[in-house]
Amino acid sequence: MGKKFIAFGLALVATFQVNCAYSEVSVKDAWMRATTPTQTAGGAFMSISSSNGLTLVGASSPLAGRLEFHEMRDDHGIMRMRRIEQISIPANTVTQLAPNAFHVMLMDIKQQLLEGSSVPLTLTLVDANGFRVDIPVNVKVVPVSTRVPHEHQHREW
Amino acid sequence: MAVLSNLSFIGRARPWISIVMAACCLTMGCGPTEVPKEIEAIDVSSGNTILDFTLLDHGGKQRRLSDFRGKIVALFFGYTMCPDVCPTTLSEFVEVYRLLGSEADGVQVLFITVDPERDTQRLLSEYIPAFHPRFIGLYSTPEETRKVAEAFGVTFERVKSRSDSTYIIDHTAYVFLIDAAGRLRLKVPYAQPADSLVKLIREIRE
Repeated sequence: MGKKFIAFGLALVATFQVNCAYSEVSVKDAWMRATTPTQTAGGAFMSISSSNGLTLVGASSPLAGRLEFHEMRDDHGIMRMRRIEQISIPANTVTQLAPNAFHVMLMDIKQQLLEGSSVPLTLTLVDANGFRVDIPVNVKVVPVSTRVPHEHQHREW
Repeated sequence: MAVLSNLSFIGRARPWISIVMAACCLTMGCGPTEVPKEIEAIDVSSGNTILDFTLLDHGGKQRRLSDFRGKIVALFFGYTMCPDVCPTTLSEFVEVYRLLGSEADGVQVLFITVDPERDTQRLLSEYIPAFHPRFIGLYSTPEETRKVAEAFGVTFERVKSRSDSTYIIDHTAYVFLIDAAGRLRLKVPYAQPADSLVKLIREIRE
């Protein structure tokens, strides 16, 4: 069913000043799956782009006790997930936090996340000069069986 | 309390597994499976492998793989804290059922948890039917889970978080397609789209 594909344009553009130059950061299509009453973890996905090269170094949410960045690798059929400290956001390209690549893992989720609600998230990014900025993001909670657009499923290593 | 009663149930259930290498070619004439060129899948028909196991389903009922003879079984391993692979595969099979329409009655999705310590019956009974009411989640003791996984050539290992006592699990992400006679036919790598899965299911249907 087409409507089960993720298709929404939740765009959030933040502009901040970096050494007299402006860096424009855009976080789009942030989504995660709904959780069941007992489930306490889930992955959030989104697209991030910036006019200047940045590094994503942190994430927090009032609805989760702990957040980490994870990277997935397909190692001959075994899916390996590893915690990474940061994700680089090169200038003028869209960095996809997508299945089979990167995600923000929310752990110790404090309440059931219902379809149609949203999860507030704050992303912390730094630029080459160490300038730090916090960007608020609303992660849309989608039905648990939402399919991932296929172009996001495969990643060459 | 719920956890304790689950564990005692596992104790009473005495899950087991058997592997039968059946000479089915002589009697049933199964040949190699035609995999369409554009689809990634590994034909394992020539092994003529018939596997069986007894595990507990998310309702606490004993289920043998052989209970599903007559249906095509799509079986894979995962865990509910898995944020990426497992819900992606489960969601793709929701679409497979939709594409198959009434033919979906002849296909059973089985999800075996590789994390029985955290994936309690309660958690599985919430999580698996949230994708589709006909999907079945299966669990057992850690020891039996490992035996079942090994029979399918599936490996899984815990990877500890650096910061605390939590862990994630690296695991084989193949979907195993088993035909109506119980023979293991195809190993399908992760991230195959629903329409490809439907083609493969139709291919192995007798």
